[in-house]
Amino acid sequence: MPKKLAVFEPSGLRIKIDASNTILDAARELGLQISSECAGRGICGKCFVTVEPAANPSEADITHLSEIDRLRGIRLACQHELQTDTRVVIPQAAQAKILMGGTASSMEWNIDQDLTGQKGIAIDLGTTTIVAYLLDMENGIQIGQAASLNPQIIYGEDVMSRIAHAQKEEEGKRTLKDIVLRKLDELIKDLASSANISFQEITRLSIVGNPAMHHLLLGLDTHSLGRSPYEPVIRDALNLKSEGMGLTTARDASAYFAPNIAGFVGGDTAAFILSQRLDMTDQIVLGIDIGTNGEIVLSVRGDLFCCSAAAGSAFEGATIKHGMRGQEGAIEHVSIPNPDEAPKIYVIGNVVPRGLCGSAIVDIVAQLKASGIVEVGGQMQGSTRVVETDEGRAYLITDPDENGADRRIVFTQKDVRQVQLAKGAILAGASILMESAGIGVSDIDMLLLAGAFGTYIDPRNALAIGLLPPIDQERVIPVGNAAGEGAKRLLLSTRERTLIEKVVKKTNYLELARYENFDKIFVRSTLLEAKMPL
Amino acid sequence: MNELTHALAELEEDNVQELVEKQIAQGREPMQILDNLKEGMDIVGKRFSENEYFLVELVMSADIFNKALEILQPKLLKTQSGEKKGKVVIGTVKGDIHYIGKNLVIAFLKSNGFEVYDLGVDVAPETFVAKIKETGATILALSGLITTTHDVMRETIEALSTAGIRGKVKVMIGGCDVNQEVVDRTGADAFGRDAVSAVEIAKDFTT
Repeated sequence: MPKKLAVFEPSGLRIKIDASNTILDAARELGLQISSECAGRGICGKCFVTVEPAANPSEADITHLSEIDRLRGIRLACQHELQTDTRVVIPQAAQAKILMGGTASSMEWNIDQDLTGQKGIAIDLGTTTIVAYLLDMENGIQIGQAASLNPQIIYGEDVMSRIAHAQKEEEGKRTLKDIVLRKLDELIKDLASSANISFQEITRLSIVGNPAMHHLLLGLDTHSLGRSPYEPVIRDALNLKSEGMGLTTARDASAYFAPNIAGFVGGDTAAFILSQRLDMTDQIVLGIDIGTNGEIVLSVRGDLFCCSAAAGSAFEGATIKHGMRGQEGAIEHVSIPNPDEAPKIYVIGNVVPRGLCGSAIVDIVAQLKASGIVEVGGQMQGSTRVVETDEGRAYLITDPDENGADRRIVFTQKDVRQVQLAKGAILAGASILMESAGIGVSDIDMLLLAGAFGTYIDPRNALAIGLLPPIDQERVIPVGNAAGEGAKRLLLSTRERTLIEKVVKKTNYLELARYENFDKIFVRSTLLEAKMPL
Repeated sequence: MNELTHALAELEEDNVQELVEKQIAQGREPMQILDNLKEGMDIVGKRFSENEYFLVELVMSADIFNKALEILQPKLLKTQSGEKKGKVVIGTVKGDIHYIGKNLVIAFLKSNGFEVYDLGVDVAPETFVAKIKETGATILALSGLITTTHDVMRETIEALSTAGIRGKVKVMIGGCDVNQEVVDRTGADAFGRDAVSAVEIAKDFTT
């Protein structure tokens, strides 16, 4: 299969990928965000991008795009395979503006000299997911991507239970370290074999993760992370030999670990800041990475503030009765046009629905609220499709034979409560960060949503339930895996490494639980309304 | 339902304050006013157990109750504050600074007639020991929201043994992830799932 190059702007990310992939596939491999609500079937018309050279318009292009747009080279990303090397501009005018805000232009990647013939792997080590990107370091082109669940998950969903495991069990620290090292070996092996390269060619790794993932991978003591005042043992960036850290693949590579900001905010957040150049913007930008541990960054014209919000794993489906990860069979979006009838659902892979992923969880709460079935306080009312179960009330999403389902899928009162707690943590964090920096909602120029979850949620619904501060929807910009993008920059460039180390030093960390009236702000943040809790 | 009880159950903050002040001015027995407030908190607790109320309502009710209690307290002292059910020392253990759950437990314990000594957050084992000795409390309530504090709960309970007072105190724990296994591991006597169940446990401890 021939491989073609795609260069995405404004990020400057580039990938070489089989020509049978669509532009949308290529963007997703890179961890980039392009809006799409129909799983790439040419139905929603949301994934439009500017393409050069532009292939002949497809029928879906003609249906969804005006003639002028088509003449300008705008196409639906899901409709076009990479038949040739292609330049793709993702329409995120606002985002481009930040990238251009300083001296660094979006396309300038500061790749180190003398990397000819060398390959590198950028790793985003998340609490739930690990993503590894293989790059040709000579030109910064991505030539492979591999992802996996973090195998430590069997020892706990969130960072605190992992830390507790590392401390409680005799061999806990060793086990957690080894299990993730073996997974990294596996990912590196897969990447090398699919790109047909040897381990010797891999000369660099860069790793970004939250402080707990960082410490557990390095086998560091985690006591200080687990107890107030929650301090990391190592804050500074590290450069280690792969073999020394315990990898059995790519032994000779040097592994760069991004620096930590605070006990709960690590190199992944620093990489997010770096990739969006939040340190240089001349605007006021709020950045939210919604994961099990949510990180929130506020840049006031380059002055940086951050905090960590314990959102828990509701949006990853873990604490939701019929929740699941965003894979085939997951309901990705839900709408309730008529509360007395079955809701409309969109299932990933267009197969029999098995459960709800994060974006659908946000949709359902917003839609239940809009149709009056769930109140502002979160209480579920009686309704045609509300059933009594042994766990209390539940809204019926599908019964067997409805919407092609073969089972009953419900959203319970308890699920609504879980969403309230999760979104309350995020909104409280964002509000407190804003208040302490003297920033009001109307001051925010942009809200960047990072991470897989941010990529797929419907911003309208996220705003309607008050998961995000109540700003204009147009100002909400999903940026995809921004931490991953930062990791790639750190892989390729010594200058970027110097930069991130500076960024970390000037980022102010705020401990939410110590903030005055945190309790009142948090509980008010659990209300399902588009309103600031202050 | 009594007007004051109803106002508290419906979380009408201003109304509760006005009613308490008015009734005091009219010379109503402070103990009766307190009883009405307690009944209101009972209803809030019941609605929480039945899923009608959630955190926000609990925190609001605790806030309203505490404010009403502040108005009432000076009057109560004059007329004897009635029979206390028991003394409780409470705090969030060392290494943890979360307090929302703990403060709810306090409000519900108070509304059920317990005398509560709150040590705040990030409390060292020796501070708990000292307060128990000082007050003669028979119940210790330990809060910890994060999983890593289970060990600190154990250390705190061990400190009671070292001080030779473990036999005089019943210990209940609460927070995220607590269950019977954590009770066994920490050496506590019971765990509470929420503020309402904490009251039931405290009542069990004192009978």
